[in-house]
Amino acid sequence: MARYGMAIDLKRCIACMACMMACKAEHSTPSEVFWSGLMQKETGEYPYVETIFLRMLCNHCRDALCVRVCPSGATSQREDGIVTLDSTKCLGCRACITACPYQARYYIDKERSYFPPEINIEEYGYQKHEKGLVGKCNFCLERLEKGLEPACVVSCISGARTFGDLDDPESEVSRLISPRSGFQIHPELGTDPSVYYLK
Amino acid sequence: MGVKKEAMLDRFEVRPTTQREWHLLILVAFFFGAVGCGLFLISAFYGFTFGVVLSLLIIVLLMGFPHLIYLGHPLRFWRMFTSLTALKTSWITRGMWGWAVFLIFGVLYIAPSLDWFAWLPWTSGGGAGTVMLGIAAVAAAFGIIYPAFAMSQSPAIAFWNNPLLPILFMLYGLIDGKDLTFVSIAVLGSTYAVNIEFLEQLEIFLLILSAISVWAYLGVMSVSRVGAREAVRRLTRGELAPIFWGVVILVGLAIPLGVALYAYFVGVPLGVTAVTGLLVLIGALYFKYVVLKAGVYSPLI
Repeated sequence: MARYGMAIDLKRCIACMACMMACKAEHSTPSEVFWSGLMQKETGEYPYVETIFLRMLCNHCRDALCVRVCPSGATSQREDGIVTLDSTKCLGCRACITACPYQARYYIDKERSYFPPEINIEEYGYQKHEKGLVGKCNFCLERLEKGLEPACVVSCISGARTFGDLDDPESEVSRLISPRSGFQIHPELGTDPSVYYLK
Repeated sequence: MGVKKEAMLDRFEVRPTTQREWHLLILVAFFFGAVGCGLFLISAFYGFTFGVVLSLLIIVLLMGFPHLIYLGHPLRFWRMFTSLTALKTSWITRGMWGWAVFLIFGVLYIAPSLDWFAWLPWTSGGGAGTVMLGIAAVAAAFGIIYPAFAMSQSPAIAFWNNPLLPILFMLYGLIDGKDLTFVSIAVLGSTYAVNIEFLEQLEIFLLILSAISVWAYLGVMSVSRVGAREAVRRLTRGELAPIFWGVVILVGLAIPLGVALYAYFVGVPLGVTAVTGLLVLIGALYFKYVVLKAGVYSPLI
């Protein structure tokens, strides 16, 4: 069985935000909710200063903390490694948000829209994000089932994102990670994330 | 900087990030959960019926209700009892089961002592009542410490991820129960068979132990991961320092300890003991407040 994962090349990423917008368009995530987010950090000292743009999303960890702490079983992990959330079981207790080291989850505490009330462009899409529930990236499951790659991967104009089977050493993503010393975020926590970053 | 702006910066900058999900309602639930369970343990030990009934009411109204309305979908709370997988891994699920056991056996234990339920075929002091008390007491002890296990379950927030936290919560839970007993007896009049002198001596012991435990906890966390070190900085020298030093340490520990030692050697009226009991309760409430507020995620890189 495949174990889906992603490699994000930090050298290729130009922080154009196309992946963020593609994710928003694909999933109609409300205002202030970013299933595919961006975080930046300045490192170094003048004159050798560098800004790192970290693309953040659910890492679909092999030993996911959110699955462990969920009191209702709403959060679970598929055989292909994708961590999913059953919105019909979610209580909105937010234990998963507290547990996630990657701050990849969002709680919808009120209805949020990018548009004034009289404009209902995203009304249908927003219905997927019910108030009182938690949401997160699901590696675009609906697209995967159709044989497509996640929206953020397809939309990346610099080819910084690669998606595939981490358990297949011949897959493109695996052939990128090993030689480029791909690193995980917070490996010391033992979560074994499925998202690797290439320097 | 405003809270909203701070929260937005947390979303876009790699830096120690404050947890913002577990806040006022969770604080109220955790605090009164410990107070109720501590009161139950002390009151049941002395057969203080009023204290036992008060503890059960506190658990239902001031622990259960805030927990329930905190949920995004409160009417789905029953799902916590249906997932066996969650029972194996989630401390929140285990906690809910613990509360259910505590309430059921606590009510069954005390009911025959109340006039309305005197017709029940067992008595609180009999064999069956003692078994029910034992089960309820174990569940009450579990109820005091399970929030700490729920908080420490995830290593994401290093300041919470420490085996000392449940010990601290247990100490504070016992102190809370003891001090609420003082307050209750002072309000009702000291006509109950509660050994006030023993409780006053216990207060000295628990306060000293709590002070040492808080110091040890901060000491360990100050050399732990980045998130924990940042949490200690915020508590001792940062934005939470006035509350931590002024309320948690001074009002909640130092002043009550001074009064307790004076009471031990010289003696003070029960009213003074009750007032210091209130101070300890305030300190305990703010202790849980600063622990929740100091929950900081380590930076991603």
